[in-house]
Amino acid sequence: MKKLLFLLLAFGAMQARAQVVKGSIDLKDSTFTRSIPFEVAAGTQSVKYFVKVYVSVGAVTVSLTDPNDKKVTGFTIGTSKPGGGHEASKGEMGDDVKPKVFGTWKFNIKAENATGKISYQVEEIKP
Amino acid sequence: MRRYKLFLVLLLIVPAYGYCQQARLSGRVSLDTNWARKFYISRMPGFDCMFTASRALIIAEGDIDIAGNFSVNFPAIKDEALYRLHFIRKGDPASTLIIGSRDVNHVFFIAKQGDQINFEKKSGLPIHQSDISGSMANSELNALLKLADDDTAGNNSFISIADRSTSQLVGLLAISHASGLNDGQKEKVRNILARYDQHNAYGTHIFQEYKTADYWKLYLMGGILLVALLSLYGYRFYKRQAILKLWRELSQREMDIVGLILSGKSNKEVALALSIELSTVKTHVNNIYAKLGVNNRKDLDRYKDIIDKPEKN
Repeated sequence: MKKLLFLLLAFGAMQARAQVVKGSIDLKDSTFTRSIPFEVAAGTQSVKYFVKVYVSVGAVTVSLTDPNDKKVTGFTIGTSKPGGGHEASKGEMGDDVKPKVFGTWKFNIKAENATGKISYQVEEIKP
Repeated sequence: MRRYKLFLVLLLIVPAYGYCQQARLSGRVSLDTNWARKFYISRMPGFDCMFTASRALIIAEGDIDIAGNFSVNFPAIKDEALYRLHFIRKGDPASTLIIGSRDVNHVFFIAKQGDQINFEKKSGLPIHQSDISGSMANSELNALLKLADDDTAGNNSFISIADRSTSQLVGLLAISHASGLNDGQKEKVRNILARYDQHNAYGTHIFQEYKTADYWKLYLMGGILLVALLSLYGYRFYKRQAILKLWRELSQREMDIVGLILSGKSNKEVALALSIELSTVKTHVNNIYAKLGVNNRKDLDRYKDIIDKPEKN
């Protein structure tokens, strides 16, 4: 019983220290530019992020920028085929990083006539 | 019989020619059951597409056998070009790009016609850039991409790679990683780029960015234009002064007669206008011609400007 209580308390403490931001965007012939900001507070031990994009038509560019607007990583997926027409594409980026720059980080998404889905998740582990 | 011989020769030459325009990739990989037994090669037309996934970029594909071996001949150009080899998980589209995670699914390599590129996945995950080998260019590319992953790498490191690299493509990629250079670093990059083929398509933006401004040409052109304008102005000024000097030698009566002649009047009309004899007008006209150094009425036109703007005289 004591062990169970200890585990519950430990789990609760871990939950309190982890902050999660997640969401998804459905694309239907969508064209837009959007930023999804998330705060990385000073002292954050690690940031786990994951972005998955699937498009059946169109193009999507995703990038991750730090508070200095410096691009950390990113990709573009498109569906055009050499002979014309479309073929689905998929892009994923994710990592578990120890942040050196604190402040507002952003996922920047640019969709061009895109049909598909974008999903993202950021988990910050605080001390 | 001759036709058969010709056909036979063509049959041998055509595939050989086609083979010369290719490069070969051979590899060995051990992927778990989540991965499809397929591989794809994409050609990257520029550095900005290195992380672009699209069916349009894929130029070759093939199957991986049970033992994890694969190979393919793929179309290559005479000059070095940048390629990406990638694998996909079961159920994923052919153009799938996974970056930054343990499931990273691609490596980059450089190849030109006739090259033999090797991929040997070393033990453990993930697929790593160092799994590529086959030429000095690829060793340099691997070193560069390792450096690019290091957050602490500064501009001098990239410039140093560009300086030492035997591959211009690697050099250009190294320079593309450098940003916010100081004047000294820019000069070093310019010196490195001066050794490169200026028509290398991967360097189009880079050559433009580091193009030495030909200010001296602009200054020279401006100087020549200024000298030409000053010369023209000086010539016109000198000419006008010479005309004025001659004009001032005329008497007031002669000036009046020139004015009337330039307004289109005949000698007779001038005589009438000034209430003098025609012979007097003719005498004045002869004197005017002699003083101004002209032979006829038409030559007097050059004095029209002086009469029209007497205040400038």
